[in-house]
Amino acid sequence: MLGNSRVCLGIESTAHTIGFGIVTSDGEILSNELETYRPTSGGIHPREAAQHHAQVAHEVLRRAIQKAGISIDEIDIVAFSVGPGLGPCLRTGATIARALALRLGKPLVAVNHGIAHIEIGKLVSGGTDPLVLYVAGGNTLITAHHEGRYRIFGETLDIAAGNCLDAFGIYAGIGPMPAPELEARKGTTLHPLPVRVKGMDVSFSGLLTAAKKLVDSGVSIPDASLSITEAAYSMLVEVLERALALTMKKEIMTVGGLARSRRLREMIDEMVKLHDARQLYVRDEFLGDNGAMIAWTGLLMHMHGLTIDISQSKVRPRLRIDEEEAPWVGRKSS
Amino acid sequence: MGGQEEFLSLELVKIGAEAVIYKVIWRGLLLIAKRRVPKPYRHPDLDIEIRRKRTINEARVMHRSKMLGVSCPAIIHVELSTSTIYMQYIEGRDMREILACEPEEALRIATKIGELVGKMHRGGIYHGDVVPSNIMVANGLPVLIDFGLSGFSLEIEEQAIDVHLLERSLKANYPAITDSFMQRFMKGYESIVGIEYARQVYQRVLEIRKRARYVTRGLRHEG
Repeated sequence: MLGNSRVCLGIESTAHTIGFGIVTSDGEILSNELETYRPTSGGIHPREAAQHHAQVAHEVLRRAIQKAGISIDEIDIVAFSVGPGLGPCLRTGATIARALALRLGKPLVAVNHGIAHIEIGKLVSGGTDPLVLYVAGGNTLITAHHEGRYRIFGETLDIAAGNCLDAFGIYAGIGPMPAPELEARKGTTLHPLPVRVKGMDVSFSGLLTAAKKLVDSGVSIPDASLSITEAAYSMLVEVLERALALTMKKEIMTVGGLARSRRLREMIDEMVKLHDARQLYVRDEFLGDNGAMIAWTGLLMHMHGLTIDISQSKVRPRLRIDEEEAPWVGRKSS
Repeated sequence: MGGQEEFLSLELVKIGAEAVIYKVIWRGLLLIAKRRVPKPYRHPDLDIEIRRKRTINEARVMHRSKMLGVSCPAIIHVELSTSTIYMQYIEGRDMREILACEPEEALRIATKIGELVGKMHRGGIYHGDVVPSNIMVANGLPVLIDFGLSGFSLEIEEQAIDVHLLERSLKANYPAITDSFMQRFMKGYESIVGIEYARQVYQRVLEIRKRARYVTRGLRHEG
């Protein structure tokens, strides 16, 4: 305890990042430390990433506690990311969380990783009830709080937007994001690529295939990058606009790794001008995977008695954002 | 067909997320103009391409539907330079009004809607947004409008989504008559596509309902 406020340690390890964050129930972020596994070539290998996490966890945790300026005994709650994510990575974080909760004799909270992205975004941007675009390497969906939980209004029907752009960058030999976006700035000619939008759902696999063909046919990398990024972002902003018209929310927030894209942010700014809404900006530090988001959401859940017994704390790699109630969101939409 | 100047714009009917709808007069005929407007956030080249492609798709699907005997507005003219479709103005009532005020009449029409959707599906077309607000009733018969999300496909999934969206939207807004409405709808549907196919489609509807991602879909038609 720090004064009257509770302190939560949050552990994030769903994919390539292991993070430890320490947050108080007043919403003060005391520390947010992380390390990211970078594969030497190709995509992320779950077991190698998990080994990486296990190796560096001790050091990252030590840094988080030191920066927060507390002693480990002052932690009141231990929260961890329970899913969705890669099994071996999730299990590494969960194991650390269980061990700490047992040793400290503190309650354990299992946090939905997607919900955590939204909650930290709201905390740092001052948002209250946003329409959320969650775009990352493994997730692409549009969600908003409606009748007690985060509902999914639209999502990808195949691969995630971030995955699409990463795979393109690797194929084109420039590497994953942000490389394709940086290359796109040098592009001059846009080649139309398939834009597949169905209602409020999107599909990126056809776009990826077509963009690879552009590269094969000799189109310059900057032009191919321009073409794929413009098409992908257009799809996202279009479904976002549709969801905005439907939900009539006043705030739009983009979270997840791909939310760092400046071009995407610029397009959303253009779109919200057509509507009675504003865009919330979340600092880059809190857009990608991080421990603070797990800690803050853990606190919110703990306030509503949503703790978990260690015997029930199995990870849930396929967990969805709309599978759980989010009772701490006070304001009802509709 | 002549240029744009021949169409006299009368009034703005609706501003949707993707298109703007006007009433226009062309050679003494009252028409509806559906114009896909440029989106300032899109790269201009991509914007033109998207609007052009979708306009062509919508006009093609509507034309094909008409040939299959599916009641829908007749296409009069397509103007690609402004991505505008000029179509027949349907003089009729809104299905939502009939559902709200005349349940008996709504149930009678339900069978007819089933037949109409059946014809469309049998011909390899899905509408993508079969909801009461997209059904007009003229001379006691349903007319399907707004083919903006439609396409060509013989896949059961696309067709089941049509049926699912109708049911979901009815349930949200007219729960008391949803079940009897859907029974009649399926009867009409089955009379066109056959019992076995109708059963397969409905089986898929039940599966779709279990998937979380469609839970909120019908929302946009509430109120």
